[in-house]
Amino acid sequence: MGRGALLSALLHVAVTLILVIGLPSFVSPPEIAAPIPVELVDLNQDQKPPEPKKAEPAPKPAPEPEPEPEERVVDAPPPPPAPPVEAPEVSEPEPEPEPEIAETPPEPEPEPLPEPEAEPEPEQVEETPPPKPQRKPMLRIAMPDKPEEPEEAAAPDDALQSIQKNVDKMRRKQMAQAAPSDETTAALAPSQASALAQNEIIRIIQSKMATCWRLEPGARNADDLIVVVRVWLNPNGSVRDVKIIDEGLGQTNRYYQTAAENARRAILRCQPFELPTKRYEIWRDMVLRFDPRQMFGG
Amino acid sequence: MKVKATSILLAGVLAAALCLGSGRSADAQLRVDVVDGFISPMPIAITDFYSESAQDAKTGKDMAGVISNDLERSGLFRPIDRRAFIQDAASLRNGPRFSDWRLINAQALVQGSTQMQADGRLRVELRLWDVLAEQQMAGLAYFTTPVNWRRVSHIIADVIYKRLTGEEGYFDTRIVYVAESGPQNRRLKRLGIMDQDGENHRFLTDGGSLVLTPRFSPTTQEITYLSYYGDTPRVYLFNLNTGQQEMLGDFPGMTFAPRFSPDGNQVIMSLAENGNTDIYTMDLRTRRVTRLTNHPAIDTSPSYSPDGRQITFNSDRGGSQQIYIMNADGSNVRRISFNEGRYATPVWSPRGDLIAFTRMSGGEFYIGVMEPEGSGERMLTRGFLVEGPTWAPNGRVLSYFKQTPADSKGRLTSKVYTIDLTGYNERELVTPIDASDPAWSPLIP
Repeated sequence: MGRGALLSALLHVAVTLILVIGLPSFVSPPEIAAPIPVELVDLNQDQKPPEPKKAEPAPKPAPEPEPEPEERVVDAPPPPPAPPVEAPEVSEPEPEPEPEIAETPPEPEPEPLPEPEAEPEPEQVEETPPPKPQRKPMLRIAMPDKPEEPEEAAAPDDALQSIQKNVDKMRRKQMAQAAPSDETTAALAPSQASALAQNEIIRIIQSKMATCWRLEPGARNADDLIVVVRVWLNPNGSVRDVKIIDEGLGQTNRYYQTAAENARRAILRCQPFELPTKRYEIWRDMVLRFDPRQMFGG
Repeated sequence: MKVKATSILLAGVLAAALCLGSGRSADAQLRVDVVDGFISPMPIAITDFYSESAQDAKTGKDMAGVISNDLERSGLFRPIDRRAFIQDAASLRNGPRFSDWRLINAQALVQGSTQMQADGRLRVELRLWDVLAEQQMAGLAYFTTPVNWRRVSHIIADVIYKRLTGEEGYFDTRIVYVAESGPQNRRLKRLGIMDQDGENHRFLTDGGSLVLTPRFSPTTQEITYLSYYGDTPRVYLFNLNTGQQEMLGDFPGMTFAPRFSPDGNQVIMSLAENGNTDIYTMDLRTRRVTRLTNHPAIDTSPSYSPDGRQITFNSDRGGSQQIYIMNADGSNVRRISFNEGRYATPVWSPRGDLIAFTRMSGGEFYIGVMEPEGSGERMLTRGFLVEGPTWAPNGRVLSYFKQTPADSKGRLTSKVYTIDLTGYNERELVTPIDASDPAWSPLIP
């Protein structure tokens, strides 16, 4: 036992020493290359969504040095740039480091380029007034392709430019595909990410229901007719089942029954709901509360 | 010792897992508040009522037409043009192909059939379908004489209306009114009656004496109205089924015909005595008259609440014509109208939640509604001269009349209109000649 204890103590000390001092290194330290000077140019000067204007006047097959040095941002480790989703609408084809993005914790940039870029996306969406158009690229990947067409039309004679544009295209595609990304939102705290996704899903449902929910304004005490409905959806957004949750007014009140049937019809009419498949567990089973009071100004 | 530590550790891990797990399931039930919708008539598909025989098929087509008109005129439904129908009547007999109806955006589908029975009666079957939920909402069969097809159509329209809106129906009703003709200073007035859609019109009196303010009994097919015998206004009771007239009495100074109480046993009226106009009730069985108000001001135009416990009336005891309510025994008189102008002819809705009235303000006339406590006042329509609101028995639709100013030759026009209590869907009720003073019947028993 004494020997065992002694051995244990020695090992403990050794481990502690290693922890404090570190393992001995047998390799020479790698050479540190001189830093490449990078010029950060303000993008706004050159930025035009249909980039062909720039390329056409210079039909040179030879690759030119830096027509757009800002593209180098791709290589440098920048903080997460602008949300790519905005690219089609806001006509900012190149993502750039924007001050707002500083909010998000800069993730290790290396390969998962699209992911850190997609991260600030949900936050950005909430700040800008029209979240809807920004959501579309999430569901229809074809959209980001449109602004690329004018770029492709510009003869990619400039090899570097073509590379840049290809990378751009790739990145945009990746970003569009990763838009409903769970991997990125998983990088945030789980409760934070799911709360954001929840809010977005709620908004989608609310705006869709506004086009389907037909109301009966002349009913007796119409603004008291609040209907609560439980809805189960299939993964493709179609309705699996709808159940009116009785709130106490009961089946005997004909106005309530009418309001409940109108709510059910609204849900059936609105299907299929276009919701992010990756978040199916959120919207698979939900409760919709139809409250007409706001509409009746009460 | 070791066992305890391990089990504690395991318990800790389990607890953590449970916390995480329960946290996730609490997030799983999403709650969404839907507060935005829209208001619009319900698109409904009404198919011709099917029949084997050509004769009955024509009836079936007519019935569908009447139903469609009723529902469309209510303002709450939009019948879909039948040329857009995809599924044909023959295949419909085997059941609706709901996708066909969803394609044309129908939310409800009306299907029916008629069949002549051996005993000469007509059997009419109705099926009402919920297109989106793919369920039957109503299924009924009626037996009637073939000549009564129009009334059955109204009854069926009422069933559909009630099932889809929750309101009581009002299509199986009639409107009695004063038919007018002639120049302003020599108006000829007769009593006329028609179905609420304007069909089946006939005159009840010949115009020999002036007739005013017809009113329907809520329980019997009887009307009261005022008729001037010389200079004396008399109240008559007219039985629509038998055509018999009975005089209730001479009532000097009476300006409006009496209204009935909801149970049909009393009439309530305003009588002028010694220069003072007050409100009285008369028991129709005993003919005993009871005085309800005793005030030097003019109290007139009374109307019962549907539960018979309160009365609304018009009084100028406050200095100008305003609306008051009181208990059925005359106690607890309180004023409910306070806005600018003068108020007249209050009528309590059969639904109980509103009082309709005529209002004069700024040189114009209005028809408005307000809640029995006086709040929620809304004007529904306005005009040079618009007055005399009457409620449909479901308390959802109002009728009234509008008169244009007389031209240089003294000619004027007077027309009866209907409107929804939300103020939408004002429609003219087409009559053979000019019309005023409409009164809506209860649902025909």
